[in-house]
Amino acid sequence: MSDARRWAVALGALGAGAGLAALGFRVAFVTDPLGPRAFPWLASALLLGAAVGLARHPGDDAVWPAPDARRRLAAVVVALLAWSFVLPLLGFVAATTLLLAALGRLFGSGWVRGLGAGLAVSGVLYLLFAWGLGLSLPAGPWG
Amino acid sequence: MPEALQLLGGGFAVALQPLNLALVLVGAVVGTSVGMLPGIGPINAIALLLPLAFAVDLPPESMLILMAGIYYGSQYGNSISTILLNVPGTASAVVTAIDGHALTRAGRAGPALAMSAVASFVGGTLSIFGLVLLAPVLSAWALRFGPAEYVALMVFAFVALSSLAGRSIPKALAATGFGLLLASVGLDPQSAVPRFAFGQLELLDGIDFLVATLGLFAVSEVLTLAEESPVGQSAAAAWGRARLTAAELTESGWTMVRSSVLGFAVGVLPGAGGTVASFLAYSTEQRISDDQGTFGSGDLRGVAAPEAANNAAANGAMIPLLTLGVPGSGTTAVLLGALLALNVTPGPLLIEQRPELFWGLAASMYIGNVALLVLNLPLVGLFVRVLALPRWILVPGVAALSYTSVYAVTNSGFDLVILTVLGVVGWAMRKGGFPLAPVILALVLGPLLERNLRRSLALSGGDWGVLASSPIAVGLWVAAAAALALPPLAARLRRSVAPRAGSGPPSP
Repeated sequence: MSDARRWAVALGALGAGAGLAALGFRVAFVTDPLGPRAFPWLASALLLGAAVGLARHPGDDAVWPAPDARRRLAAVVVALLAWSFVLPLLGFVAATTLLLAALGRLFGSGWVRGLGAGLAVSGVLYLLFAWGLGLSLPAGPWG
Repeated sequence: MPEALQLLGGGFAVALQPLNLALVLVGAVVGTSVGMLPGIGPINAIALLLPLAFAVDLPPESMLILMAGIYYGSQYGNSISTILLNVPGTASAVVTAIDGHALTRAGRAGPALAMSAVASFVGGTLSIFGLVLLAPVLSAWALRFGPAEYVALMVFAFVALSSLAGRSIPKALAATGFGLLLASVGLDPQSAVPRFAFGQLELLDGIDFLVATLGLFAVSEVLTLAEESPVGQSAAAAWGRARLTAAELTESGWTMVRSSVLGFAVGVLPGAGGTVASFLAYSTEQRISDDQGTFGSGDLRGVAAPEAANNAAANGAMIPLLTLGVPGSGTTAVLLGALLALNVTPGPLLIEQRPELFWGLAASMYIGNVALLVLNLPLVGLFVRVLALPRWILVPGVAALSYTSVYAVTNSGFDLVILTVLGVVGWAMRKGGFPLAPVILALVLGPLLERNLRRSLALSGGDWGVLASSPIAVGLWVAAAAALALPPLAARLRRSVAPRAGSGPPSP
């Protein structure tokens, strides 16, 4: 299956799913002639139209990443998600230092250099947000 | 016109208040440093810096002034990395890369950078006159807009942006549809029915446009960079001094003036924006003044034309945003989202009810122009050093900044997950050649479109004829139809310039 066809299937599924889900948006009494369903249906009509268009005129195929690049991408996503979850536990500076070291490693630095730079950058970010802008960032067990 | 001058004078009084003056300078400098990061165009720079700007509790006009400074600065920063590294952060910078990077390879990066600053200044300055003259007229006219006219106008903006943003209409449609879908997540404001919330409390509020913008643009950029080879990029080349000779200036004088006028005119049209403006200006100048065939191999006028046009278009794009409340580009859509978050609704009443805001902004844009010229010419060497930072600090730093911004503003782990998911979606869309700007436009305009559509149909009792019942509305529907017919023309134009554009497709 070509790239465009796969996109067409995905968009068609998204459009159809959204359209069906919008069937469930019921109102107890009529507030206006259109109601809450019409707009989601417009969105799903656009997606279905796009799916049909792509299926009929597939363009060039994208170059999807090689296995090692795919692993690197997955690692970046995992690191970012992990940061979201450990942030309240470890506090901002520790969690962000680890994130930056992990990402730095994926972009070609060593652990030691990455940890050092990570500590510096997360310290600057903490000062900027917490002191400079007065926003609360979790301090963690060291707070 | 004396009245407009008087009002502009009032605007300068607002803009020259110490706080606002400092903000426009800070915005210009910070915008330049962020906009310069490889691959990060103005839209990313604004999205990255917005949460910071929101965090400082500023009055709306100061906030708008700060954002204008960032907008301006990031465009110039984008030109720096385009000229030095040949990595245009936006489609509109692709044209600048042709001659700009050729000049860098010839060891003349300094004059190229100086020309880019001067041309941006000329484009910005001339188009501010256009803004001051045209905006009050347009907004007086827009007072006659009712819900039906707004529906037609927004459809026009969607069609214009979608048909010009990418090469493939189905892909632009898909991006718009996806954006509308994101816009309808949450409680329907009119019937209080939850839509696409899947029982998640956090989704009832809808998807924050800041989260969507940072995810689709900044996080997807990080993923795109992660996918490329991890080895660091080439550092800045030898570049000479950032000076221009008098001869070089006079030679490009008319090029800058012509390109500014052209760029402004194009910028006012929704959807067209900087990309079309800079392509048009470059190809026009090539035809008019390239008598020795030096365009494409390092001609300063080849830098002057797109830079002047691009900046003029950026100011032109503020007109539909401020007078009609309808943005014509991804970047102005982000600005609209920010304004709405500040409880400022741009539209025909803005100039009358909030003159300090409109005229203060116009004056600040001018000051921002001057600031960029006087700050950036001497400081460009300093800025360039940021580019020499290794990639393993830069890219993770951008990621950490986006995630910290979102968390600091929303304090919600759920939004961080949405941010990541949208980052992956944005990356996949880029890979598949889908434009990203229509998603943001649809997300910001979607709720306005729905409200106006439902209001006009409620007023007419469900009669769809109301949508085309006035001459203005009919005119806008015709314009929307015409915008659908434009892409073949634009494609032809692109083909005539693109083969010279050198490496790689731009990120949106």
